[in-house]
Amino acid sequence: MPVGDLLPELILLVGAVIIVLFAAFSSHDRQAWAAGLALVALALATGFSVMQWSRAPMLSFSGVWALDGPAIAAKWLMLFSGAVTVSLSPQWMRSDRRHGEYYALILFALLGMIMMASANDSMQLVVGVLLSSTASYPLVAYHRGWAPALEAGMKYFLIGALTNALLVIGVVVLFGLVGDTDYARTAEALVDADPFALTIATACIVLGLSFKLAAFPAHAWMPDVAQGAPAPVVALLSVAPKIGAAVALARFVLLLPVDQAWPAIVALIAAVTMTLGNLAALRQSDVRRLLGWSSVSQSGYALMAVVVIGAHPQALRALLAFLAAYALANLAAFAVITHLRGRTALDDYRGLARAQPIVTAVLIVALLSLVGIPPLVGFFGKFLLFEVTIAAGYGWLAVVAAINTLVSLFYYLRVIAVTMFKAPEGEVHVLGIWSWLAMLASVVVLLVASLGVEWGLGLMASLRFAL
Amino acid sequence: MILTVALAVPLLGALALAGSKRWSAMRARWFATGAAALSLLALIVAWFGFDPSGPLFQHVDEVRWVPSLGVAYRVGVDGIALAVATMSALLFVAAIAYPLDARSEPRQDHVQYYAWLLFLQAMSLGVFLALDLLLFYVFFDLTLVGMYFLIGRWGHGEPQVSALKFFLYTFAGSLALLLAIIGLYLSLDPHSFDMRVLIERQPLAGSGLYAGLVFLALMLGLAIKTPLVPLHTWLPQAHVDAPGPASAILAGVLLKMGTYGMIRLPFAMMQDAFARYALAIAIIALVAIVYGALVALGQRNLKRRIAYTSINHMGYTVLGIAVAAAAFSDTDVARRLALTGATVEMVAHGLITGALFLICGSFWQRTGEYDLDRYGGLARQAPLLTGFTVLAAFASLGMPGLAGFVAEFQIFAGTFAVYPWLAVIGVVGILITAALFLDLLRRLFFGSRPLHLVDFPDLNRAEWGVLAVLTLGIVVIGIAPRFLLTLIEASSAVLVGGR
Amino acid sequence: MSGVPMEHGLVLAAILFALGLAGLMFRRNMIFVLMSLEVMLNAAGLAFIVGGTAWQQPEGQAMFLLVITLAAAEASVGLALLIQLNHRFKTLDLDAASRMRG
Repeated sequence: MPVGDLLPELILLVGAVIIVLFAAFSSHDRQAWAAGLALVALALATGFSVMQWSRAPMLSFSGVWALDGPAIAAKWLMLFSGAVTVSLSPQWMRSDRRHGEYYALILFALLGMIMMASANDSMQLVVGVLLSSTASYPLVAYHRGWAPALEAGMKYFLIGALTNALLVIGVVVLFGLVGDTDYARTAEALVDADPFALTIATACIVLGLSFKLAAFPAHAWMPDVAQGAPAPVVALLSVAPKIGAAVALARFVLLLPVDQAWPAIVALIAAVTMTLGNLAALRQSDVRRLLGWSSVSQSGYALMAVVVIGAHPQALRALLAFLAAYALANLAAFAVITHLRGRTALDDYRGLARAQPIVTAVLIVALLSLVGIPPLVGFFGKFLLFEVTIAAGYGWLAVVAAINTLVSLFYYLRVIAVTMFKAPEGEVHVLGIWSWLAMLASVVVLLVASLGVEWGLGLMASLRFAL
Repeated sequence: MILTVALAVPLLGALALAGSKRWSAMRARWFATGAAALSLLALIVAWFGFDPSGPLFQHVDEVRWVPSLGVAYRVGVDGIALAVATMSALLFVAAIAYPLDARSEPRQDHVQYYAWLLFLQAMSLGVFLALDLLLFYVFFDLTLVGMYFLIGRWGHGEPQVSALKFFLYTFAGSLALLLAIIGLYLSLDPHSFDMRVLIERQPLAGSGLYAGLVFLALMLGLAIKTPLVPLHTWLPQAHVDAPGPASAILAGVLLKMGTYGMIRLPFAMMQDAFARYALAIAIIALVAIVYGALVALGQRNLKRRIAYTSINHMGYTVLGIAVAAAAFSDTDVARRLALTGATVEMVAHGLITGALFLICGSFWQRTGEYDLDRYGGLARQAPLLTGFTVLAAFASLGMPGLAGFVAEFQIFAGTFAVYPWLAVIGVVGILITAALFLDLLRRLFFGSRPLHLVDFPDLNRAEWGVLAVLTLGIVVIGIAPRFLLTLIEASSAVLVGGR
Repeated sequence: MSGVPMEHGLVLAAILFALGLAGLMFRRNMIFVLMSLEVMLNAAGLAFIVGGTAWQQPEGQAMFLLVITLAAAEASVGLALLIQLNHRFKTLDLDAASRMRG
């Protein structure tokens, strides 16, 4: 058994187990040390996954586990978002004296998401989705004494449980159709499968993944979670599951026979998702909820690349570049919110620029990158998306996305305007050095990525799925 | 290198100002003026080094940026770009040196104001100097960001609403432009954003619907910026609420990006498509000319009136460009004349309207009032202000011997040869403009003086010094335009005759 | 196994799934919702077994084990949430606990 191919994942698993044990047997004032353990695990996992890069693309464990460029790149992004989340957490969680397990849950959730991105077998996909979901529900409701957190956790759980059940059903139907769960053999057998059953299977699986993507129709949890969950958790959940699910979805739709209508359906989902997210974000007066809806709309953009994944050779690159750009910007934005102790009402951001110029600058850079103002990396992400969609004949989708970008500019600017133009009110309390560093780290990576676009694109130029 | 210097100096200056905590507003102003002037100096050096008989683009710098997408840092100028860029740099020096008309602001804030102005200068010059489509787009967008903060933070009235409207409206244009740019980019094989390649190869010539869509998106994006008539509604409000110097930049520099973009992108890269739609665009321009003048005539608000004359003047420019693009092979000379005229109009309008908006800022600073009915009889009390305003207004209405005349004469001369009846209607615009400026001068400076203007101070030294420089430019171009025309004709000959 | 036709197993699974889905949609009591979820997942598990038998593949049974494990994990998290919900809102009615909108 090529255990070495799983080293990063094994490290996460072992790290999580160690943290659970550590948290159980250590005193209250040492619970925050678990954050250090989690960071070590994440760093080691990242290190080992970097070493896997040169061997990609390949399949391991008799075709179940994909070790290819997209999976590894997605892994890096997810591990990075995990690291940012973990470093944001110790001071945030200070009021909760027994929170060691929190870090274990983060590692478990990450493990599940990484499994989604690497899954080359529908069974594997189910396990990844369910593991990450099950670990995420308690994270959302971690502040169990606070009503909005519980409510968000409950909604997240209900939508998640329903869509996960649908995903399992989809996989069952697929399995019933082809008699195997391996993707390679599934693709072969699907060519002459019953179209009706295949449609049901595809619909259920897409629906199941749309939950993790926070895309229409299973998007409703995102704004509630953004508002109610602990802010560091939102940073993780608005980013990492999307990356895993988008890669998983791209991998899955490539199996489908070309005569299926899935690109049109995914295009429709993409258009609805981005429009819905943006329209709902327009009328928010709560910054976290606003960013939650914006995160929904960003999933819509990501789906644009999935639409043309089979039609354009660079679609995969566009998808990953967009996801990376989105992840960095969103992490920076939520790092700022965490650093500001989770302040959430838009009015509380009045005059922030005078009281906290650097924090405001980070927030503005993050938001402008989300809009796609050049030369920030968000622009290149969107540009690549537009390029592949237009080149593959989905010009209307690019136009819809452009209009949506315009709409999104409106609400991002509302936040920026409040911080810049209004007079400050009251004192601004911040969290501490950990969140400060995590915030700076995320924005520095964002800026470095903006400057090093060429290097990043070169890295991703030859990415392809191992099949 | 010299163009890169012109871009980098203001940008570095902006960074230095943004990072400085303890500078006084006065020191920041001098520092910013110095940086802007250095950038202007670099462009003047470039002007002297420009060979009118040489290749189309000169002073080219090229640095790899994202080669896998065909994007590079490419800057270079032809005569048209150099003329407009130099005018812009001059206007920036003027706007920065001119006192800010904010009436009650903490002084520390002003350091940021100068930082934003310098940033805006770097980005605006970038638009004119870029030879890479994507770079062009990057600068085009970043000017919006700069202007958004200038209006939103230092404007008056309802600055945030106006700033937001300005940003959203013009960003919509940018997105249309982006889609068109991607369309152009995909039409080249291998894909590239190099403007020189696009101009040389004309990749979309004769490709029907696709070319039509790309052209439409390009023109839509640029027309919003220019602005042409149905798409102009963002302009008056942005102007009225912006601080005077920012208004001057908005009218003098940012609007030029629309018309300059028309020359650089659709005119140069899609001559086929432009020729097909030239008449339609000329008619739209004519509507802008007449409509802008008529609406301006009806305004009681000083700044709003000048803002509408901008629409009228940009209409002349677009008319010149459309005429130059028309596909009549026997009218080369006339079309060349029209293109040269359009470029001179950009330069002249930048200087004239820049001066007028700076003057508006002075009015606002003194009284907080734009309503023309609240003024009167200032000629004796403020002779300097009166003199400069009269000169700028006369230049704007096309008085011979001043810059506006040189431009409009050439545009109409070219138009007569190509679309004679359009030229006839267009002249009506000039008549209305003359009427509205004379009316404006009468209301401001003559008649009886209201009581609240008794202690209305004349221009101070900083103000008249700046206005003197701009006016000098207007007069020199009006009397001895040869130096400017040589530069521009070098490029218009290549662009028009080069098909 | 050959005694039961495949169709019967599939129909049973479909009925169970429909029951679960209906329960999830129409019950507002959290406990019943959790039970419905369990029923749905078990329906999927049953379908896996039936499918595995039909194709003579071991994956069906392996998958069944995975599904019930995950269902148990999910149910335990759900129950934990339920306890907190009851503690906090003094009700098991989902609508009563839903306050965030828009």
